[in-house]
Amino acid sequence: MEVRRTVLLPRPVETVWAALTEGGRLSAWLGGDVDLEPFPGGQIVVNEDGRLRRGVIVDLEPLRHLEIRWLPGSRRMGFLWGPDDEPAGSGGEVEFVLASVPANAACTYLTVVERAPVPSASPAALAVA
Amino acid sequence: MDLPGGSGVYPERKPENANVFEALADPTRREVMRRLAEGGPATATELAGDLPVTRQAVAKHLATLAEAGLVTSDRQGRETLFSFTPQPLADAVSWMADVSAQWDDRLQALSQYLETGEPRPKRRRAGFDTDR
Repeated sequence: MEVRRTVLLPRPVETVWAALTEGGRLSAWLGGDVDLEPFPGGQIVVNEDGRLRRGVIVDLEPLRHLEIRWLPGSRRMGFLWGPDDEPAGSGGEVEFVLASVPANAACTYLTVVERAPVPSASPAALAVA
Repeated sequence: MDLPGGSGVYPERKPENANVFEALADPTRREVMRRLAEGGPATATELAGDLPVTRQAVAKHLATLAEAGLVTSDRQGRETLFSFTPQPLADAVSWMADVSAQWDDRLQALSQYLETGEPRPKRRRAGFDTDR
């Protein structure tokens, strides 16, 4: 299950990419404190009001694609607020896809895909699988 | 396939919504759900009688629906009754609405930040408990 959003941003891809991959810039629009190691396998830590969420950079293609898988945690959905009763074992993923706008290099299309956490399979689920 | 019976077998799985929309993507499964929602609990054999598919196919669809938390099973004697459980569907819709609203908000903030270069002020989600 996923939510997908595409927006047109009034800046070139280089600027948008920096806002997504540099900790200080991420913090500026997310409102929390973000540390990110901008390479595949790198770590990301989001700290908002003392609540931490850790993730791993699954894929990073400069100026085009960034994918983060969140490690199991609680009360955070990565960059978003999670439910208070988020089950253990969940993680979730967020993906950013950038595309320059044909005929207007000053603008960028940004698509965000948020994928729901998938709880670890229970014995019952395995039994019917 | 042999479906595990007995009350509590499927409900052990915590309701979640990862597979809800995939489970609903199939027209036969939607028909099974409609039948259970409107006609009440039924066995796989009864459901197969109402649908142009075999009992085995119905059992397989019921297993997928059960995995998504959309049906529960209850063994009564030699029969296993399946019931529709709507909560995961409500949870899924709620998750999508919540995530959509939050990303709309964050992307608005990103757009403003890119235009002005000003960091957004710290803010809390309304109603969120801040004691932990």
